[in-house]
Amino acid sequence: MGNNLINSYLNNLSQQDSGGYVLSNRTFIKPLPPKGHLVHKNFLELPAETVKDLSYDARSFKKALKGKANDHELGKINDIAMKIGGLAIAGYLMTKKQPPSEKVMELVGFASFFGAMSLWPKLALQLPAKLIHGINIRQEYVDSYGRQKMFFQDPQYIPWDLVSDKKINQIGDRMRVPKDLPNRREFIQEKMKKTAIQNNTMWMLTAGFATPIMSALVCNACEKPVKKFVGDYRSKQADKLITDFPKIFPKYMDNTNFRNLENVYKLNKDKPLTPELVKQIKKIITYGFDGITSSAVNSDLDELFGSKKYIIDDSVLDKTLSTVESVMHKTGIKNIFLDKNTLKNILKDNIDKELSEQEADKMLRLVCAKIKQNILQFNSVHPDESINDYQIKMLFSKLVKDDSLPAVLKSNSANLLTPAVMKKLKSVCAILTDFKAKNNVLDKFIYMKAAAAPESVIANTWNEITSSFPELFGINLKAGQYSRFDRKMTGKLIRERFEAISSDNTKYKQVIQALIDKISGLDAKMKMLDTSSASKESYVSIVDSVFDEAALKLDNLDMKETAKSLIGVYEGNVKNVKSSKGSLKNIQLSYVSNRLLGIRSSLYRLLNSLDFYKRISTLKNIQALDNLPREVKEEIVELCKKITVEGTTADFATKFFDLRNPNPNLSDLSQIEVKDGKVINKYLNKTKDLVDLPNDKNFFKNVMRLMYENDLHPETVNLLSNSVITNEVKQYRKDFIEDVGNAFYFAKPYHIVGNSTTEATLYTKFLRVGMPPDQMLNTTFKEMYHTKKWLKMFGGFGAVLLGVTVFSQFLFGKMKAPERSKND
Amino acid sequence: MILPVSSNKNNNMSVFGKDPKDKKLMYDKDTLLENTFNTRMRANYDKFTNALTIYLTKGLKGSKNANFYEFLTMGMIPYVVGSITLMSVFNSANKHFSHFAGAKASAVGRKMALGVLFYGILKSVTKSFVTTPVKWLTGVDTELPYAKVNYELPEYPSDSDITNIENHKVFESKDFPRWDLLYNKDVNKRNEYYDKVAKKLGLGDNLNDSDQEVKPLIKKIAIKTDMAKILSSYLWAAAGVCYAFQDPWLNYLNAATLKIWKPKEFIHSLKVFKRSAVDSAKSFFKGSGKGLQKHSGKIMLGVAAASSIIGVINAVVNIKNQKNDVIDKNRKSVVN
Repeated sequence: MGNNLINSYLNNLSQQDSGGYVLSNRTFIKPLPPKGHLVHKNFLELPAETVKDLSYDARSFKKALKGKANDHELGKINDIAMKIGGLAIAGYLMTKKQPPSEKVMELVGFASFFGAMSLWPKLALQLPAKLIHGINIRQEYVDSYGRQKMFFQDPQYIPWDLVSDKKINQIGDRMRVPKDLPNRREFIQEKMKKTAIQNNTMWMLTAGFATPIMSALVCNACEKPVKKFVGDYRSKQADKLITDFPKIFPKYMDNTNFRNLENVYKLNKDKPLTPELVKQIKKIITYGFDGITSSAVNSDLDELFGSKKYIIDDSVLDKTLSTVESVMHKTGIKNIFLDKNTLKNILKDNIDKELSEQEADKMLRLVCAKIKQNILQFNSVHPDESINDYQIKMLFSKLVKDDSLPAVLKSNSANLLTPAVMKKLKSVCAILTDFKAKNNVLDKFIYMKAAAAPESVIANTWNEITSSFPELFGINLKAGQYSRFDRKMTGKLIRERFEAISSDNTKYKQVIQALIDKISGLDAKMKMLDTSSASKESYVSIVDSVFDEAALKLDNLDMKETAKSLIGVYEGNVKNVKSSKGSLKNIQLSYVSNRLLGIRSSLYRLLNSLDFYKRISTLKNIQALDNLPREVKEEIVELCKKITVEGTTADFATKFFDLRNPNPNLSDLSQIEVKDGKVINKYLNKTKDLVDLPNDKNFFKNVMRLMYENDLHPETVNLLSNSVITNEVKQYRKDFIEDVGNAFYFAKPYHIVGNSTTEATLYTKFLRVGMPPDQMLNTTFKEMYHTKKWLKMFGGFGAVLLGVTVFSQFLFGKMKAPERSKND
Repeated sequence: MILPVSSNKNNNMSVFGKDPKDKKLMYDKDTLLENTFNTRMRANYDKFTNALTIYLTKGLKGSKNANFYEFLTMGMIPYVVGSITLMSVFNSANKHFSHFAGAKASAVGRKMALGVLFYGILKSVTKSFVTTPVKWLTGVDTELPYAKVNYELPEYPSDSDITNIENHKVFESKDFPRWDLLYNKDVNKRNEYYDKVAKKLGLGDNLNDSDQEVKPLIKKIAIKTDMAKILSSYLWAAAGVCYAFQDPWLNYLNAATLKIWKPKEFIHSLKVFKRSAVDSAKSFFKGSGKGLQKHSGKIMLGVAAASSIIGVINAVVNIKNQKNDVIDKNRKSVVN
């Protein structure tokens, strides 16, 4: 900052003799020479400039805090505050529950908004103005006080003295200002000023439209790369959970249960294990566990605490009396019919003695019997005040069924919380805590990899694969997006494309190869999950070791029910598992295998469908049609074409409802005719009165055999032979026939492919059928349409806005050169 | 101020009309105004309408009279237009989407639109969270408005409409506050304003040069207040957006209607608004989940509130410890 002239003057004044001399000297005071200069930035200086700006911002903030900032510095505070506010919004939204890439997109949104705010005037105004007029309308300068400002910021104060005559004349030449114009510099300056004012106004007029739209377009463009980046990152993070499992799981150990157990022990050491205390201990040990485990642990703990024993002492007698009194009052009975002496007489030698569960129950019955006896006696003596049957029923209901009296009589346990019991409890708690930590790591891995949640690795891969299908199958995007309204239309579109692809061998090879690559890619990403993997670092092997290890330790502590709930029913040794059905380990593994099965089936189905179209197109490997009348052949092929593209689980489960000719032409056994992948039907749909034929069990069999049993096309086999999924595809077809083809349907019990029915669950059948291609592509078309529609609306608007803004430059800076006087 | 010759005969002109006979001069010189709700609304209305009409036209024409005030005032346009565009970006295309996707997108889009609205409202309203307490505690109204009469150059030889009024604030420039407007016209009460501020700041009564005493202090207060006002208003605005993102607002957004001619629906929507506002406030404050996810709302509100409170404290505390006196008050000086 420059010297304060008044300060300097006054300082000089105080140092000199007072008198008229000083005052007369004031005429020599004149402004210091200006130190301002234009700022010329280049790309290389950008980092240094950024640091300089940040340092200036920090200084401005500090000075404003002390109340010493100037207008320029306060202006900077506004910019900083606006960004802090934006960052606060992004930060808050990032903490909310949403998919990981959405969290990153909050930051992208923040950056793109401020980026667009800064970029728009540079792109749409500064650059065109420079190119068209030769003026940098966003030229900056540093004033004598070191403040960086826009040169044309205040039209009433433009520091023209910072621009040389040469530069002004260059701009004038560019603006075609006559060279011989008198006061040429002033005219050029006015023209420059006018252009700058117009541009600044245009900036204000357009920024409101441009910034949100540019920002949204940037976000739209960034969404895919961000998703891919975040997806890959998370996939690697998930893999690390398995590869570094021994190092990671200790971080997930939560010893809260253990600490709470210790605290309870400190308070209740050698005290009776009352039902409340047992309940508390069970709650502590099973906290955070699922219902199955908790229930098994509770059952084992009951065993661990030993057979229940109770002591009825004086305090229990008092509690019994007060409970009876309270219940009687609630029932509306005024007399109690029981006193302490009576109670002591009933229980006699059982007071202050260890009682078993059965003995305690006997005491309960004795007390109840005595109460009833007293009531009946009272009724016989006082018939006017007698207690009716309803009241008696209610009384015992409340006393016994509501568990008030049994709880009181059994409130004083003879079992104690001894150090030996505590040692066992601690061992159980330690095993379960360790198991829980390991299980949490496995759960997190599964969630990140295969959960039915947005942005799990499996979901991302699925989206990536399916979104590439329209292009892969060469589907006209316009037609595809039009067909988004109806799956039938999508199905028709796919069928046309499949027929075209299957009739062109080069295209077919290209599509099948791409499809194989995509499925193989999915397998590579899911390698860690693969249930068939035998690697020690695979998810399956870690699940095995975690569950088996925990079960073994629990078995050693006689926690057999818990061990069974983890690994299944076993005999003797935990390694001798008889059935793992319903065990937690099985659930842990089957979730993954089911998720993979559903996805793989959908993709294998697509491959199988294309292969079927190819076989029909080339009339190869269609043995299921052999020796059938041509009309039936046509019916079967037509149905297969529909089913491969549109068939749902329900279609397979009901053995296909198809309207057919009940009296087909049986004499024509010729082969079907195919042209360009399409069947030239000779008989199909030529007759009226078509019906479903539920008694024709061979129809279903032939359809299924044609689709899933007849050999794949040699071209497909050839392509598959070079891939890692050959066996998987074969197995898929086999399993499909087994689970779906041989499934029992009560209305068509004999419609099966093999000799006997199988009993696959509905869920397995659903997973085997997978997602029909028409549904898959219909969803993709919808998403594509949404994106395209939005882009068309706002991208179009943005483009028009940019065009109008750039074009407006041609209207800016128009000024008439002053007419010359005749004397000039 | 040197007045242009042509303005002498147009002294009674108003800046709003065209026919000189119908016009009355609202102010014939720079005039201090009372800081009332009415004044503020009028100033904002004038600024907004001028920005959209007069200043825009002048700017697009490249008028030689266009100035920095007009450029800054036109800054309102991107705010308003940007808000509408932002709402549109998230909502306009939704009707073209499939029902499910459209409903999902609308839920987010409408919350975004509400967020834009709350941003604007809270950014404006919360400025007073700082300026009002500062005014109560120090007597300095940093938002004190005045009308500035501006004389322009004629655009063409017969141009007689050369005055306009700009709405400024006395302390909007910290480098050049309009101290002159704070002096009383009555010579005997010339320092009335400064005396009051001096008394409020604890400098005592009957000071010889109260204006000289308090001007540096007022300036300091104005700078600190402005900083706190700017910072906290953006943080409150951010909190407003986050508040709008709470799920209970969807209940209101589904029932919202501005059709006052359908009283039943309108009243119902107001009731739902009240309920949604309360539920959303609870949801924002209490949060869900655990850790940062649960407490982020509290943090957001806490930071915004703290910025206002600390800002006020910073503006009013330690003001008197100022040692930048240019002139030694104990020494006699001669002023020519």
